[in-house]
Amino acid sequence: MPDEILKTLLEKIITKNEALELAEKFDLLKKKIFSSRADWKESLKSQLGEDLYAVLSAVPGQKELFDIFEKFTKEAASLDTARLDIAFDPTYEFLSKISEWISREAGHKVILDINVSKKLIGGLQVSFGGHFTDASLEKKIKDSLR
Amino acid sequence: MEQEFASFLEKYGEIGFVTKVTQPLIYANGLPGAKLGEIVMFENGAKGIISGLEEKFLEILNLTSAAVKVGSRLARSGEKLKVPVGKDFLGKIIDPLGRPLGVTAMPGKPAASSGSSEIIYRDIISAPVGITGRKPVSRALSTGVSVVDLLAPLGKGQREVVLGDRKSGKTQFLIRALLSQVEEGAVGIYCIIGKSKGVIRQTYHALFEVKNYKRVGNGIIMIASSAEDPASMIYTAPYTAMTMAEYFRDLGHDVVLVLDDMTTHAKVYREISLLGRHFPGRNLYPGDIFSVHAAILERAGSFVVNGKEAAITCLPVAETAQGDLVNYIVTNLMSMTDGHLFFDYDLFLEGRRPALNPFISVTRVGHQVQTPLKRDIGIQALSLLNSASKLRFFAKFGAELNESVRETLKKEEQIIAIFEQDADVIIQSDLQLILFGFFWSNLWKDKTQEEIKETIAKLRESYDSDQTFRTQAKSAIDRSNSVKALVANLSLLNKKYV
Repeated sequence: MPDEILKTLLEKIITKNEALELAEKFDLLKKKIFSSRADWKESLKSQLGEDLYAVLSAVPGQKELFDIFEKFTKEAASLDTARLDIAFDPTYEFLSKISEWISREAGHKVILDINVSKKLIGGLQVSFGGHFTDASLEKKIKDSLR
Repeated sequence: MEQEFASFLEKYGEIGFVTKVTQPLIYANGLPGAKLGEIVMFENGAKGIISGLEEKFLEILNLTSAAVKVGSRLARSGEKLKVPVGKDFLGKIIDPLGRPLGVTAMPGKPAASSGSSEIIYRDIISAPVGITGRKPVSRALSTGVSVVDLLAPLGKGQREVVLGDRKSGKTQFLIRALLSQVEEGAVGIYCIIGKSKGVIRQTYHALFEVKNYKRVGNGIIMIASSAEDPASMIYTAPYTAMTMAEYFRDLGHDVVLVLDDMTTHAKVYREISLLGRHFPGRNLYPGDIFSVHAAILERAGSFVVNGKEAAITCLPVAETAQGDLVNYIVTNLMSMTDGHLFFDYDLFLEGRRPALNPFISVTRVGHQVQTPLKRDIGIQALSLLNSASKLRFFAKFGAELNESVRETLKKEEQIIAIFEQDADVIIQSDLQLILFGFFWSNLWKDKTQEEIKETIAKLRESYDSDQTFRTQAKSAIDRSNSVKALVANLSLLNKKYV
C-alpha cells in the first residue's frame, strides 16, 4: 500500500519545481506533526490540498507516512530531468502533454525543468539525456536570414 | 561568446550540465559523444578540457579562472587544446594559452596578437617523433659557462635536468646557457612554471634587458605561469612551451627549451589529481606522474627535418630540498633524461660561482660530441680536482704537506678561479680552451686566485676586441688535439698576451 501511494505521488509531479516544492512541503509537515499534539491526519488535512490529502489519508499510520515522505524526497531527486527552454509561460495542460510524450519516448518517468526565455520568440529548446534540440522560432529566423 | 556557445550546441546537438565544482575540476553529465582531451565550452564563456570520462559523468579541467556554477550548461567544441605558435611571439612574454602578459613590452615591440598571419594553432599534446625521424646527438652545445662546457658538457638535442636547492644559481646558469645559444642562432624558450610574479619579472628582465635584447632578444620567447594562476594553466605551461619548440624545430631551427621547474609542475598535477580523488601513489603523487613528465621530455631530442638536423635541447629544472637527490620527482626526471647538472648549495655558500658540483653531475651524451682537445682538458681538470679533493681531506688532520701536495692544492685553487664566472658573463668556447692552455703552460703557477681572475678579465677584453687574438687562438685550437699540443701551439700567444 505505501508503495502504491508513493508511485501515485511521483506520477503526479510534472516539473522539477513541483518536486522540490512538494519535498519541502513534506519536510515542513513532518516537523509540524512532531511539534503538534493534534492527530497527524488533522495536520495533513489542514496543510495539504484536497487531492494530496485524498492520496495520503490512505496511509495506515504516522510511521508509514514519514517513510513515504523520505522515499519521495530521495526518488524525486533521482528522477531524470529534461530541460525545456520556452518562449512563453506554459499551461499545466501543455506541460502535462510534453511530460507524457518525453516519458513515453524515454521509457521511464521524466520531469521537466522549465526555463522561460523570451528571446526564443516562439517554440522551444529541449535538452535531455545529453542531447539538444532547438525548435525555437529564433533559430528558424536566424537560419532563414543566413 | 554566446553565439559561439550556441553554434557548438547546434553543431553537435549535445548538451551537458554541471553537477559539481571543485576548482579547477568540474563534473558534469550529458555530452554522450565527448572524447578525452576535447575542449568544452560553458555557457558563461569559460573553457575546459575533458580530463576524465566516467560512466555517468565527465571530469573537466577548467582552463580559465572564471567561476562556473552548478547547473550551468556546457557544449562540445570537437577540438583538442590548441595554442597559438609562431614567429610573432619571438621577443615576447606570453601565458600558457598564448596570450600576451601584462609585463611592459620592450620599446617598439607590440604585444603578440593572435590575428597575426605569422601565428598558427597547434595541438599541445602530440605524439613524440618516432625513431626514424631522430638522429643521435652529434653536435656540442656551448652554454658559455666554462665549468659546464668542460666538465659536464652538453650536446644539441640532449635532455639534461638542472638540479639544486633554492637560490643555488640554477636560473643564472640557465639564462646564460639560453643567451649563449640564442647568440649562436638557436631559438630560446624559457618556460616558468608556477613561480611568483617577482621571479617572472626578474627572469624577464634578465632575458630581455636592453644589452641582451639588442643582441638576442628577438630569438627568445618566455612562457610564464604564475603561482596564482589556475592550476590547469600552470599544468599546461610545459606543454605549450614544448609545442612552441616543435614549431621552430619544424622550421629547421635548433631550440633550447628551459622548463623551470618540473617539481612545481608535479606538485600542481598532484593537487589536481587529489582533488579529482584519483588514487594516490608514492608521496601522494598520482601513479602516472612518471609518464606525464616522460611524455613531455620525449618530445625533445635531435631530429631530421627536411634532410637537415634540428634539435630541441631540453633543460628541465628540479628543485631539491637540502641537496636531497633521491627525492621521488628528482629521481624520476634523472631516469628519463640524459644526465643532470647539480648546483650545490654548500659550494654556493663557499662562494663558488657557478656552484656546479662536477663530481655529482652526469652527462650521458655530452662527452661523445666534444672535440678531443676539449675532452682532454676536461679529463685533466676533473682528475686534478678529484685528487686535490682527496688530498684536502687528509690535509684536515694537520699533517705536514709535502711540495707536490701543496702544488696540487694550489692548482686546484687556480682551476676554481678559472671556472669562476659572474652571473652575466658568457665565456666563448674557444676562450675557455685558451684559458686552460695558459694554465697548463704553467705560466700562472705563482699567481693567486685574485691575480688569475684579473688576468682572465683582461684576456676576455682582449679576446672580444682583438681580431688577431681570436684568429690566432682559433688556429692554435684547430691544430691541437690534446692539452700537450695546445700548450705547444699557444707559445706565440703566451708571449704577447700573458
